[in-house]
Amino acid sequence: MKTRGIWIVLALVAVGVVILLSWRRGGPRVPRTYRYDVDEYLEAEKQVPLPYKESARWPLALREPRAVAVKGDGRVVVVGDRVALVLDDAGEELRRIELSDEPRCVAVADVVYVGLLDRIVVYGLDGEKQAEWESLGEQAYLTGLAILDGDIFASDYGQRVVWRFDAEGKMRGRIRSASKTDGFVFPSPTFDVAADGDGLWVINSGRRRVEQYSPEGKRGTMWGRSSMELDGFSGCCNPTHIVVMPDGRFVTTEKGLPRVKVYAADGTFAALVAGSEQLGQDAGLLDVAVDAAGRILVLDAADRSVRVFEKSVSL
Amino acid sequence: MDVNEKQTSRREVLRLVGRVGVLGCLASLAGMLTGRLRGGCIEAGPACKGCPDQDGCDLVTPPTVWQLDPAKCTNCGQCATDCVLAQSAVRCFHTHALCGHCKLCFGYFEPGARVLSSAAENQLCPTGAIQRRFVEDPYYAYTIEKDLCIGCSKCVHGCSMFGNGSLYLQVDHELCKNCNECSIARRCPANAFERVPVSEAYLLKGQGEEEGN
Repeated sequence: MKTRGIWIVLALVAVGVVILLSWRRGGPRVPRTYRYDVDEYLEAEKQVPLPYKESARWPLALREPRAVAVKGDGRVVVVGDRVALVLDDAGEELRRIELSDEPRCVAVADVVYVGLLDRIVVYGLDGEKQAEWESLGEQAYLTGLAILDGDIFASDYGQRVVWRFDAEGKMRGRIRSASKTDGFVFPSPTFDVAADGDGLWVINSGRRRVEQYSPEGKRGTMWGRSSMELDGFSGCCNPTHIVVMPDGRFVTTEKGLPRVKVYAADGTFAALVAGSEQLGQDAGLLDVAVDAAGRILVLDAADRSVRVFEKSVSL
Repeated sequence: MDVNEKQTSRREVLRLVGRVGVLGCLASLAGMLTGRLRGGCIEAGPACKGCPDQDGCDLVTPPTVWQLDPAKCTNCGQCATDCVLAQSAVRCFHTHALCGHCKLCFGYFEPGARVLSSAAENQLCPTGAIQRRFVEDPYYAYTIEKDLCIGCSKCVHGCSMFGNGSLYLQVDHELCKNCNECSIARRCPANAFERVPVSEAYLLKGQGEEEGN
């Protein structure tokens, strides 16, 4: 009887110790003080209506898609890895163009302008290489391309300038920081450029705003404010990309709290197209393009796809 | 077979089952304790001193230490609480070459901070371990006060989410006890801890440009 009692006590002690040692293998027990908390802003995104709905998603056979552009006839060009994909307006691949180096940005008109790290290469939509422009130097780091009145503008994060070329690749000028005290600030390579009838729209991401420039480089109006709220730009360097819609409004994308938003032509916030819930918290840099029908094409590099958003209600 | 025989046999079976259970528990307890005390691999040590075959010897593995792979780290915050040391041996490191030197640094300020001053209420770090120094408008330099850092990764989370990811966690080998079974590694939800050779004890971002603080 006494022996049995000892056995039972020993068993209970052993079971207790095993449970105790295993106990701390459970989930996180991190104090709230150590938690990086952006829930308030994620919740705010959920409260606003989304006038755009994702109507299609085009998977891409690319490991690292980098940039997207749309031609007036609806054809879409996506660059990444060492290729440029020409897609039709339903996302079907029409052509695959092999590139000599990794692309960073793209613009398309009658031909495809592909921005490599330090230079621009021109391809026909048939895939034929037409020209390779001169290197912009060792410091060059191209991040955006735009076409305005036949001239090609290339934003260069490495040298903090927007280069201006004619269609033949001859340099016609450069847009530098407008001011030493209020000029370009780029903590990270988020330096995009877009064009419309009003001139060039250049992202000054370190100041969380968009600035208008004449083709000659004179700064005009600017809009955007630094804020975690939906109508502002959050983080160290947002927006990351911009495109002008056919009706003159802007579409911008942001990192950190991934957001795709529409701003009116005067820069006032108009709509959230997609937020963190739709894009995922880990979405990286999101390039964006808009086709003639007003469809917003978001290049989701994390998902390796082009996500098509269409207006479902009028703004 | 009579009734008494039957009762005795059942008791014996129960006793046997009980003993086996107890022995099983004791064995697993012993296994767990042994696992904690025993090293994972045979490492080169003092006994190897003077051995002409040290280079290229396949009997022992080179000495290793614990390190945290920043590419796998999910900034869960457990490094601050799971180390056997009262103040974790995991600390924030800063690769200045990757830093944007932002005025609005999301590793330094609380998200939504209304004023970009170094007042305590604006600072993200619960221990005030990040020093902010004006360089030239609009750039600031950030350095980590290692003695104050507790490895909570709050700043790392903000920097990697909104910035360039120049802040990240590393096991500080001036502090780490190099336990055979690292308490943090055992519980790391991202399996971001690994044994690395002593000769390459840190997994730094932007290798060669790191100052370590």
